[in-house]
Amino acid sequence: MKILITCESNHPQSMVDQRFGRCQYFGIYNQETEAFTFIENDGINANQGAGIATAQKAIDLQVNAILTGNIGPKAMDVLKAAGISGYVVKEGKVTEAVEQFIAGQLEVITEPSRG
Amino acid sequence: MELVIISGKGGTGKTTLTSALSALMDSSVLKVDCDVDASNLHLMFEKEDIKKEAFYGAKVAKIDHEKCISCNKCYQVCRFDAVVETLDVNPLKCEGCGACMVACPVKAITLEEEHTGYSYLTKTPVGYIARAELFPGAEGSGKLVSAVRKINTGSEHKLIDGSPGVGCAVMASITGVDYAVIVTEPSQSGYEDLKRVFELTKHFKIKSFVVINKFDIHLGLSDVIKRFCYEEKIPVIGEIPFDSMVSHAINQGKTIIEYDTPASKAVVSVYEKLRKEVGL
Amino acid sequence: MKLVVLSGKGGTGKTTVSTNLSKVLNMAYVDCDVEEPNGHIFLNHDHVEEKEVFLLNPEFDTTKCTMCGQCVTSCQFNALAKVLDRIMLFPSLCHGCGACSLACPVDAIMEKPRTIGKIQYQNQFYMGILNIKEPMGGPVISELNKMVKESAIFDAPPGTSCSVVKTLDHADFALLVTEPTKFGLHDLKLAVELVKSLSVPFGIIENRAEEEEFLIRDYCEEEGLDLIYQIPFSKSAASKYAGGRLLIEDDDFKVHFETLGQLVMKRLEGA
Repeated sequence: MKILITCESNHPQSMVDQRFGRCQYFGIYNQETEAFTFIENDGINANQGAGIATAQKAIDLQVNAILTGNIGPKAMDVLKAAGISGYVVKEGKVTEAVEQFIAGQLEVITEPSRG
Repeated sequence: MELVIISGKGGTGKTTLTSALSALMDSSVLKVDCDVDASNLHLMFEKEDIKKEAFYGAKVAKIDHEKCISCNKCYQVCRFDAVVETLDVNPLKCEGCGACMVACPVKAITLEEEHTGYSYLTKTPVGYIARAELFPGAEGSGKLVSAVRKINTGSEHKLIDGSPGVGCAVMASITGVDYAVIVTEPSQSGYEDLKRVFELTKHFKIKSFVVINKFDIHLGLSDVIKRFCYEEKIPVIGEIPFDSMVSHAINQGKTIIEYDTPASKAVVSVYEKLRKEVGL
Repeated sequence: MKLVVLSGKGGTGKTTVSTNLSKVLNMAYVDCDVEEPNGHIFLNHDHVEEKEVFLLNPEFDTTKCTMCGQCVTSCQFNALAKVLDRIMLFPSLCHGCGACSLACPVDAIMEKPRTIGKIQYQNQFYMGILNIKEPMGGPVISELNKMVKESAIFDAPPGTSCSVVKTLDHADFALLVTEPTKFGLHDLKLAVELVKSLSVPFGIIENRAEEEEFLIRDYCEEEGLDLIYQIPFSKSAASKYAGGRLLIEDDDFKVHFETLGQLVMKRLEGA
C-alpha cells in the first residue's frame, strides 16, 4: 500500500502541510518497504486548478490513501472518481501521521473544504 | 479569523473604510490588500517595505526562430490572436495555453514564466500590510491575490481589502474567509453591483454584512438597499454620511477617524458592531 | 472610430463620462465592464436583442479515447483529469484554447460551446454581461470588439488588468478618467503606463475636480500630459448619477460635456 502525505519539507520529520493542492512536497510512504520518498510539488505555482493537478499526481503515482489537512471541492471530485480516500491530519509530523493512519486512528475526509 | 471588505463596484469607499478599520483594530491583525490592480491601502500610512518578492504570474509562448520552419501552424491554431503574421508572440494577448506548442511540428515553441509583478510585506504604524502590485496589463491577478493571501506573519486574524468585481480576482480574495463586509452606495449602479457580489458571497456561504456609504446622497435608494438587505437577511451595520472631509483626509495621508466629523463617528460605530459580531 | 474610456481606479466616473459623451457625440456606447455593467442604467433601451457568448469546451468520444492522457498533459489550466476509465473536465477552468483537441492522437475530442455570458444590444447600445461564478470576462470583451463596427465609446472595466488590454485592442484614442485624491493619482499613473506601453494616444479627464486641489493638474503638468478637461464636483450631479440619470439633463453639465465632446473630437481628428 502506498500513502501520499502532503509535507512542508522533504524529510520524514517534516510537518504535514495542511494544504493539498498547494503543499510544498509530496511524501510517499511505501508500506511494504517502509521507505519514504519525497517529490517537490511543481503544481504549487499553477495559476489555477492546483488541487486537480495534485489529485492527478496522486493517481499517476498509484497511491491508495492521502493524508492531509483540507481538500478542495474540485480535487475531491477527482479523488472520488479515482477511488482514493483522503484522511484528516490536524497537525503533526509526517511519521506520526503515518503511524496514526496504520493504527486506524485517522478519519476519512468526507466533505471538501470551502472554496 | 478572516474578514474581507468588498464592494462589487469600485469607488464606493472600500479602501477608505478598510484603512479606518485598520487604524481602529489591534495592530497585530494582518492587513491584506487584495486589490492588486490598484493597491491603495498602503498609501494611507507611513510605510517601510520589509520584504519584496518577484511574482511570476503568467506563462507566455516563445518562438525559437532558429528552429522555426515558418509553417504557420501556430498562427492558425491560436485563438487569442497572440501570434502575429511574422510569427512572433504578443505577450499581452498570449493566454499561455500552449496550443501553439502542441501544434508546432519542430518543437520550436516553449512556454516561459513571465515576471508580472511584486508582492510586498509592508510595515506601518497600524501593523503589517501584505500587498502586491501587478504590472499594468498583466494577467494572473487571481493568482497574485492567492499569493498575497499566503503571506503570513503568524497573525491569528486578517483584515482583507478585497478586489473589485465578481470575477477571478474577487473569488480569490473571498475564498475561505469567515466574514464579508459589502460596502455599497445608494446609486442604481451601487445597488446592482451589491446584488451581484452578494450572490457570490452567498454561493461561498460567507456570512455577510452591508455598509451603506454616502447614504444621504440618495435617501430613496438607501431605503431600497435596506429593504433588499432585510429580505435577504443581511445585517446593515452602518450608514455613513457623505462628508467632504473624507477625500481631504486621504490627501493628507490620514484616516478619517483622526477627524471629528459625522463620517468618522459612523465609521467608529461600524467598528463597534463588527467587534461585537465577529470579535475583531 | 474607437474611443476607450478607462481608469486605473474604480468609481472615478468612467461610466458617467462614457454615457454622457456618447450622447453629445452621437456615438454608440459599448459596456465592456462585463463583471458589473452599469451603463444600461443611464441609457434607455427597451427592445433589446441578445446574443450568447460561448467558450468551446472539450467533449470526449469514449469509443475512440485510448486514455493516453495527452490531453490532460497539454492543458495548461489544469481543467482536465484522468481517472480510472474516463477524462474529467472542470468547465470553469477551461479557457477554450483547443490545445487538448490538438494534442489528442486519435481525434476523440469534439469541442462544444458552453455559455459564459451574453451581449445585449440595440441601436447604438451594446452591453457585455459575464455570468456570475464565471471567472473569465475576456471572451465577452473579444466578442464585443468583433461585433461593434460603428464609431463607438468603449467603457472599460476598472483597473489595468488583461481585460482592459482587450478593451484597448485597436483603440484610436483613450480617455483616462481620474479624481483628485491620492488614490486616484496612484491609479492614474498605472493607467498612463498601460496606454503608453500599448502606444494608444490618450488624454486625461479629472472628474469631481475641486478648486483648491491641484494633485492631478500638477502631475499632468510635470509629465507633460494632456489634461483635456476638469469636470467640477457637484453634490447635485452625484445624486443625479445615483438616481440613474444622465448629467446632461442638467444645463450646466450639458455645457461641460459639449465642451468636453468638442475637445475630444479635435483629438480624434488628430489621432
